[in-house]
Amino acid sequence: MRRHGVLLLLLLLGCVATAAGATERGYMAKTADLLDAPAAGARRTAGLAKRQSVDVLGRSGSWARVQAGASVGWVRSIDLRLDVSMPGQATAARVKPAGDNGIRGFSEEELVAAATGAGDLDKFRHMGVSVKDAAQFARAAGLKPRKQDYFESTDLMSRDLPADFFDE
Amino acid sequence: MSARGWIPLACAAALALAGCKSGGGNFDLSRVDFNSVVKSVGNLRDVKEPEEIQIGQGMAETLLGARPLYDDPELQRYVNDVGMWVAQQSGRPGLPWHFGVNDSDYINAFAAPGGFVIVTKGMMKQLRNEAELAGVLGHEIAHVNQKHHLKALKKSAFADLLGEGVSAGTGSKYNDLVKNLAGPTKELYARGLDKSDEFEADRMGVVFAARAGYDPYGLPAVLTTLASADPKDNFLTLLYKTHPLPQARLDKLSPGLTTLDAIKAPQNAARFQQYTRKLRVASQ
Repeated sequence: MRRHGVLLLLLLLGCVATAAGATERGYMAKTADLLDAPAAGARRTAGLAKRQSVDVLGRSGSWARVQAGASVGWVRSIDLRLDVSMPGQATAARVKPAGDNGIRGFSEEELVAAATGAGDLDKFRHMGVSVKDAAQFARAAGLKPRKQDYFESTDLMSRDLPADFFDE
Repeated sequence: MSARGWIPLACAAALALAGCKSGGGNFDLSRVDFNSVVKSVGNLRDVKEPEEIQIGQGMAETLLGARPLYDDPELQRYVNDVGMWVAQQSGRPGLPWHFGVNDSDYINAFAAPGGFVIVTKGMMKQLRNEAELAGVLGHEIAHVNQKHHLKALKKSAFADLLGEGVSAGTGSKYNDLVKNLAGPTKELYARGLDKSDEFEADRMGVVFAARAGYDPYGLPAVLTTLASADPKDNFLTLLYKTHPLPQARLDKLSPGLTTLDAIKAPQNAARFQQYTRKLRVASQ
């Protein structure tokens, strides 16, 4: 029975991993271990070199299942870079420069020329939604809030800003 | 000290320091001790939340003056639903949060104090699912949560007000402050925030998205997309002016992300595709 449970778990993992669909091409951003399961404590089956090409077979949470030569295993998604030369992938192939003088979402000329008292501010101010509506929208998609502490380098984040933050 | 009293007093202090003639505006900036000016402003400044919201609204007005909103009410409503939900996971859920997509092909997102967040149409087209959107919005919400822009303004606003030729005779009304912030706003968004603030917003944005119930790897996935792009791309050259390199941001994020490995949460790709359909059709 327990064995069946393990098989079911592996099957489910496989489903999650392949849900993304078509294979993506990529390469390793850094040297990494190829693991036999999507977990930090999993067994190392091979070593992958920086810039080594891989096929991304699927994903599971923060992990990607990849094929490197004859070896198949798991690496952290964050250690992957996708191949920009492959059309239809989530890469720079879709990143088209809109000009050579843009800064932060608009051209420098547009920013300099921007006038107050004009534009879509009124429309913007009326686009907000209520907390209730947003929560309902989240529930409709199966989102469940969870407790999550700040992680690492929490020197400023882990405490509330003092009331006199700008008073000094 | 109320905001109404800030400009006249601060201007007076600066004028005294600079030895300028009032009303003329032809300041000799080389004679201004900006460190002293900024320190003076810091001592005088007392930004309460209603003022912060007004300042942010004024900055948003300038940003929208540069580029209008994208005409797609359903998409705008969608981004507000997602954004408001993520914002509820922040330390400042009660702000009047507003989210919008502007009609720009550049790839970016930015925030203004008090809860104003704008994502470019170009950025929306780069995203693959709602978890990635939540991550991007979480990053911007973190900037507001930590008052990063106010902090930057505190460092630079007064110097820029001098550059605008503001004299002690103006600024008797709070609205004048908002108008006078147009110059500093433009300068701030052209220069970008401190790198440390960007790294902090990355860490915090991931946490907000996770608390909202999303796959917390949305923001790292977006950064991976950007890091995978051709570094010779003009777009990236421009992005690098105002942000740390995507690879550096991923490197900073990576150690902390291991604490989120066990989370299995939805990305909501189908819903994202549904609401961005018009956007993607229009771009074909």
